Amino acid sequence: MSGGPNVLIAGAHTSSRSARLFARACLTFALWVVLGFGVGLLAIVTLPSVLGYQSLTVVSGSMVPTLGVGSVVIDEVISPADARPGDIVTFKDPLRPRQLTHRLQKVRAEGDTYYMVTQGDANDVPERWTVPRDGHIGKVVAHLPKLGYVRAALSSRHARLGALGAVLLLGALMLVDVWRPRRPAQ
Amino acid sequence: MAAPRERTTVNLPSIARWTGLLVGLSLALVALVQARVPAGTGQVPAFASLKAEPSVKLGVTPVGRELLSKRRLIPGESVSGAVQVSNLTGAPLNAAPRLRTLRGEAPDALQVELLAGGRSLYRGGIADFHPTVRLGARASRELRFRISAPRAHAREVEGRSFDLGVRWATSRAGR
Repeated sequence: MSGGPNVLIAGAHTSSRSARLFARACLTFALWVVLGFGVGLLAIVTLPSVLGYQSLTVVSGSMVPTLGVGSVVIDEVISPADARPGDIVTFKDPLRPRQLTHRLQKVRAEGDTYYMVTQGDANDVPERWTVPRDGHIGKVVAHLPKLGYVRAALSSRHARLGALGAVLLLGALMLVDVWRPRRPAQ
Repeated sequence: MAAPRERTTVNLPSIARWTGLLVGLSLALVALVQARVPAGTGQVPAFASLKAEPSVKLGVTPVGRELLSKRRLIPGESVSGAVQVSNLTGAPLNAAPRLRTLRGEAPDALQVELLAGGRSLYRGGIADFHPTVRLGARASRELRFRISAPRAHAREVEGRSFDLGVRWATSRAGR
């Protein structure tokens, strides 16, 4: 970032120069809006784990249209006692070694075990599973459509390094902007 | 000679960068807020259990078995169970039933009522449950425990699973 010249507001400069500077400022503004939005989304996807949440990418259409393929869901880790029918929860598939994110249909507590019935919004068949009282499940609190594709694109080591580099560069530019000595007014 | 006039300067590119970044981050935040998934509103009854423990001076029936007629506790409704208590000694006794949690966590919002012969001996929160029942020599009484959860505290009670035990403290009753 070159950091354009200081502009005299109360001056009598030529209008063409002012228009050029204004257009350049608009372009800079738009570019930084996009950068800020990107960094914000990146933070939303990566920071939840620091705050006790988990973010997952939806890879099947079992929850369409509520959760489309490629959506990123943000899960709050909760006790099974706090789950309510209607919640969308993430749990271990009782049949295969994978995680499922489906809507909770029924919850029944009995002794130290919680009996759950879940079903994908687009599925016809429910699944039944249990979780111990002191166990944990994920409750979907937010979903960001299509962001999973971006995450998939960033899954390679080089892409991650690139994203990290971009964020660091952004930070460095902001610091330069703060600390750079101002030019004297003309 | 007049002092030079001070001129106000604005670094437009710097302002554009900072406001752009703030607007971008705010948009991401708005996107997150918009992406919130509403929580479920279904009801999950609590799983409650109540068992009476034995006592040296009292005959308690049933002992160690479930007292409650139904174990699904729905806020706004109550579950109840009765126990027969007899004084095994030849002197009048004060029997003080005390509730303790055997498993899980009993919510503080639980309300308990103790009835003897249709008369209410206690009605209030589980934390303050300290009633006393007088039993004559060789006499017996039926005590009914009624447990409920106020609708206002539904979130604290729903989905919980707990076992309560009734322990008995006895002392000689004055004449």
